[in-house]
Amino acid sequence: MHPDPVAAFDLITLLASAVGLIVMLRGWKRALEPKAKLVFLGLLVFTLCYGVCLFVEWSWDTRALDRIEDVIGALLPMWWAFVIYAFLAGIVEQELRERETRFQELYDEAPIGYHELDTEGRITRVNRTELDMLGYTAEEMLGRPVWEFSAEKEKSRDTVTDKLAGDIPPGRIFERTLRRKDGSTLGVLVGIRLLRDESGHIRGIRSTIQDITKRKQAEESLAQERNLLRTLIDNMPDNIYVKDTKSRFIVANMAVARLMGATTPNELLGKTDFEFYPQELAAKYYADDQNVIKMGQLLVGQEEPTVDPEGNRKWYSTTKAPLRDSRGNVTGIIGISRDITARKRAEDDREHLMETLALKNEELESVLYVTSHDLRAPLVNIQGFGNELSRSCDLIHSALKDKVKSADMNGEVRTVLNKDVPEALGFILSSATRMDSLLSGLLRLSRLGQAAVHIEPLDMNAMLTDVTKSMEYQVKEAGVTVDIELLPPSVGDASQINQVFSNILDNALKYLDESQPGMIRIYAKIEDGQSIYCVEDNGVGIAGEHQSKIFEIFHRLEPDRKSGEGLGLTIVRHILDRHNGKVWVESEPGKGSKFFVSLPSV
Amino acid sequence: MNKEGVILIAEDDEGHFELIKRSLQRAGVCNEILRFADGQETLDFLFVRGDGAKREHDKEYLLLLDIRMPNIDGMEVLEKVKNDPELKKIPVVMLTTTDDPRTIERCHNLGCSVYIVKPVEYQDFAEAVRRVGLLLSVVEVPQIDGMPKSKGVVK
Repeated sequence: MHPDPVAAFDLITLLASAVGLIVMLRGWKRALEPKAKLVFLGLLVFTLCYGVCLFVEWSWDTRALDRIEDVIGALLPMWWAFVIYAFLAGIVEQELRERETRFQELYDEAPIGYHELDTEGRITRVNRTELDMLGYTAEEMLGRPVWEFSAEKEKSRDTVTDKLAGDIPPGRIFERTLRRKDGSTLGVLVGIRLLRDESGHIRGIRSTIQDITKRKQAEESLAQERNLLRTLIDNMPDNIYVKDTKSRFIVANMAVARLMGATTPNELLGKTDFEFYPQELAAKYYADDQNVIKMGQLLVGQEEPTVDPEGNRKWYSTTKAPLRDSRGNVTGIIGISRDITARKRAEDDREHLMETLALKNEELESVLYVTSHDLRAPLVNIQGFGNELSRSCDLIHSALKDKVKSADMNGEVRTVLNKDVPEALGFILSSATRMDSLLSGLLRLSRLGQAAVHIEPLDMNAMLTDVTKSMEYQVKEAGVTVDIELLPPSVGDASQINQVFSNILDNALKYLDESQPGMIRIYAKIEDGQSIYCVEDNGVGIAGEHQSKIFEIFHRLEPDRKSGEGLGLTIVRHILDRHNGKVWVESEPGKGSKFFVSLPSV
Repeated sequence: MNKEGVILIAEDDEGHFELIKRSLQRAGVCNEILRFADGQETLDFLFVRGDGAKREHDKEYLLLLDIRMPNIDGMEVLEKVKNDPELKKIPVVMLTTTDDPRTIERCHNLGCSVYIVKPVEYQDFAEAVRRVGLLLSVVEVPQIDGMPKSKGVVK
């Protein structure tokens, strides 16, 4: 094959056609108008024909097809024109495409929903935001009347119809409730505008949809909260109010209104205490308010008197707090006060009762005291003259013995003189003695009630050592071992607590079990702020039925065997009562007893 | 105290008075004994008032005083006697049923010479009164409105 300028020209033409083809192919992909597609097909056929011609010519080295080539060549400028058209159309098309994409993105991703309706109210276009709002796919919405997606179908249809008829001025916004695919509802604001074609004919509607559920929910919950608060405030039995810096009511509840004699809380608003309370009380409340406002400090639980509309005196416990704005400035006070009249009354009653009780107690003590004294006076006579009588008897006896022979004396008289009278006098005298010891016991007990209690910290180890030392003689006599462990301290009256342990130890020594060596152990523990001391012995013990009685006055377990007034444990209990302490016993006959004494440890 | 000395016994209980008197006599005290049934009578005598017997200036006295008496009690009598510049020289022996430590302390503070509790036990009672008798034999009883006399001896 030799170089041929014609062939070279042909080749260039072929290449140009191929370039045109590629350009067109790109245009195809962008879906050109149908006309452009026809041109493309023509160009394709031309290129193929041309290529075939060239192939034949080159293969057989013939010029037989030159005529066809000429025809094709004549068309060449026209083909070029097509190629250039296709190229330019491609550029324009691409730009349009991009613009469309941008618009679609904006449309779909707008923060509000969009849809367009045709003149029948059917949805022709809907953006993704609205689809997401309602939970449908585009296919499910397109072509359907818009009111099918509303919770208020009739209203929605009417609006669309009216708008299309031009009855609704532009710019109006509607609050509507839409229904989601899952059945739930959605509150929205709908803005609608008419779409017109170039000639001005109504083509449809475009709507914007704004989700206001959250705003509605917020509004609703705010209203609910306000309602809750108001209900709470109104139904509180306590007085609740808010006042401004001039002590004028801004908020008040029913309780305040009732106390101040108003029918509703609203009657109080803007007014001050001076318009409702007596001058003196109002001035006091005002001073308190102003103090809280000035100092910015809480006033807590102030108990103050007041009067209700009927003039009844009442007591309230009032708390006032400064009310501040967001910058911290005091803008008023908030007050809460509670009716404590009943409590106050109960306190007064209690105080009165305590006074009466103290008085009664005092009376009782003095009756006991005086009685025991006055009862002793006749006893002195009984004893004294009993002795005088027995002295007289002795005198008569010795006088008769000397001067009258026994035989002369009547046997009966002798019996009287020797036996009956001394026996009678014996009973009289011993009973008087017994009576005296009972009376002095009573006296001691009543004195205990009158004695002052000097509370001080007590070193119990020192005290118990003292107590046992003072009883050393009895302890040795009885052959008893006394073991004192380390004892915690307590508080009380030294001499009275000494008495308590003396009496308990005395008791332990009195009721030993003679069949074994006596053992007394004293130990203690601390429990709930109380020191609990235990005096444990291995004596005869106390039967269950006697255990509660041993603390009773004049109760004695073995009156004939053991000495004593039966007062020791009564005194113990009496002293501990006055110390806020306690005494109790655990015992088993034959196994010994444990006497527990509890006293405040500090 | 010599035999002219008078023992005044303020005692509302007649029995007690009788017992005291007998015990004193048995203890060998044979001075004149005067009895007053209450505080008022006692004060009337001492302060020379009223219709009854009256204190004489040149005589020596010793007062045995019970506490619980009607109208004016022994404590008040003691107080009045000891507040009087002349009468306070009279020795006062409280002889009473009250053994309350506070009462005893008050009497001592007011200036009583001796405080004796009336024991119910006869022997003790007699013993106590006997001791008063002994006391009377050794105390120097000043003569009111005059110079103190020498120690008197009973018997």
